[in-house]
Amino acid sequence: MRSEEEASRAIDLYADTVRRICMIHLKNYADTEDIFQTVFLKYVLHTAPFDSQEHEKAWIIRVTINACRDLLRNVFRNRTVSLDQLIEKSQELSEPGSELLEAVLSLPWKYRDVIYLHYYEGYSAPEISRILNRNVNTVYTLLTRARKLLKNRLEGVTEDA
Amino acid sequence: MHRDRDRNINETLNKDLNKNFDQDLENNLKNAFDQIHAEEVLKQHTKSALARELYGNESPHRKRTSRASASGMTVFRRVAAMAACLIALIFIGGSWMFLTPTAFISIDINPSLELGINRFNRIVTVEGCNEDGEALADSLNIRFMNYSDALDEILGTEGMEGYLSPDALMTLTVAGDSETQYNEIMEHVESCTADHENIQCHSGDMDEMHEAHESGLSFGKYRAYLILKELDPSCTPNDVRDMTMREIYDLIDSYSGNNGTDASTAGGNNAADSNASDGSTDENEHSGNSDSDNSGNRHHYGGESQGSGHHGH
Repeated sequence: MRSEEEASRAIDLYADTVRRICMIHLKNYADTEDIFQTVFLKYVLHTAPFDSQEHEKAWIIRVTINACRDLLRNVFRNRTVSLDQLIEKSQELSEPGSELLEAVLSLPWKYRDVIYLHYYEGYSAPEISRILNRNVNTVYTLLTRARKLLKNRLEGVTEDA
Repeated sequence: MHRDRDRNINETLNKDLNKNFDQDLENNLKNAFDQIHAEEVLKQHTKSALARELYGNESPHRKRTSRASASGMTVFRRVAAMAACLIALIFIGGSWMFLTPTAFISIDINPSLELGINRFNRIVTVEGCNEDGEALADSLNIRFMNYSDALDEILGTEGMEGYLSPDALMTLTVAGDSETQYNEIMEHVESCTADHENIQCHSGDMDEMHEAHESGLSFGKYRAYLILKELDPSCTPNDVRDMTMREIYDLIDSYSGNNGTDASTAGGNNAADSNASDGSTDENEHSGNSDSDNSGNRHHYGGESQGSGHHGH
C-alpha cells in the first residue's frame, strides 16, 4: 500500500486527467466522485512500481476508462442521490462550455476515448491500442470515423451560424 | 489529362484541408480540455475518503456515497444469486421427481417389458428385458403417457395381437415404493385386464425387482422363475429368459404334481386363476415386503395353482 503522501501527490497530479475522462463519459457529479475514489483507491493499493511517469499516467488513464465503463455498464446501479449532494451538484457541475466539447460529447462513447487520447493527450494509435486493449487497426478506424463525424458536426454548426 | 490534374489538385487541397482541420481540432480540443480542472472539493473529498478508507483517519467530511451503493449492489447480487440457485434447485428437483420411477409394471408374455412409472402416474422408462421385449419397446411410443392409456395402447398394438394368442399367458406384475400409488395402479391394472381372459395380475416388490435385474430378467418373469426354482432347483435364469410365460407356468404346473393341466383346461382356467391371484395379492400386501415373506408368497402360489386346478375340474 502506498503512503498517504504519495496518494495525495497522485491526486494533485492526475486529478485533472481523471476529471476530463469522467467529463467525457459521465453526466453525473456523484458518479465522477465515485470514479475518483475508485481510481485512486486502486492506485494506492497497486504496489507494483511504474517504469516512468508516463507509465503511471497511462495506468491511471486506463484504470479511469475501465472504471467509467464498469459504472456505465452497471444498469442496476443505485441511482438515488442524496439531497445535499444535489445542492452541491447544482453549484458545482461545470457544463462543457464550448461547441467543440459538446460535439465531442454527442459522439457515441466509443469514439470519445480515442479523440481524447489522440488529440489531447497526444498518444499515437499503437499507444492508444495498448491503453484501450484493442487492435491497432480498430483504433485507426475509430479515429478516422470520429474525425469525420466531428468534422460534419462542426461544419454543420458553422453553416447554421 | 485535365481531369486528372484537377483531381490531383483536389486531393492535395483536401489533404491540406484535412490537415488544417486536424490541427484546428487538436488546438481547439486542447484549449477546451485545458479549461476543465478537477474541482478542489472533489480532490478534497477523494483525499478524505482515501484517508478514511485506508489510513483510518476519521475526517469530518461527509460520508462516501459509493460505499452505500456498492453494498446495495452486493445485496442485490447476493439475492439474485440465491434466487437463481433456488430456481435451479427447484428445476433439478422437479425433473428428478418427474424422471424417477416410483412404481414399476412388468409385462411378460414372451416379450418382457418393464414400465417405470413416476409419482405423477406417467411412464418415464420403457425397457425390454429380452430381445422380443426390446423390439416391442422400440415399437411403442408411450413415454410420458399416463400408465392406463399406455396399457390400453400396449394391449391394442398389432404386434401384441400376435403374442396374445388364446393359449398364451400374459402376466402383469406391479411393484412400487409407495403403498398408495401401488394400490392405485394395482386396482387399475386389474380393472383394465378384467375382460382379457389370459392376463394375470401379480404383485411384486422392489427388492425382488433389484434381484431380477441382477439376473437379467424382468421381475414378472423372475417371480415365475422363483416359483419354478422352488420346484426344480436345477433351473437357471438363462433357462427361463426366452421361455414364454405360458411355458413357464406349464412347467410349474407339471412339477407341482398337477397332471391334469393341459392347454385347453388351462385356457379356461385363467379367469379363475387371475381371481385367485388377486387374493394372493392382498395377502402379500398384508404380509409386507421382506424376503422371507416372498418365499411364503411363493408357496402360497403353488397351493393356489393347485386350488385353481381343482376349481376348474
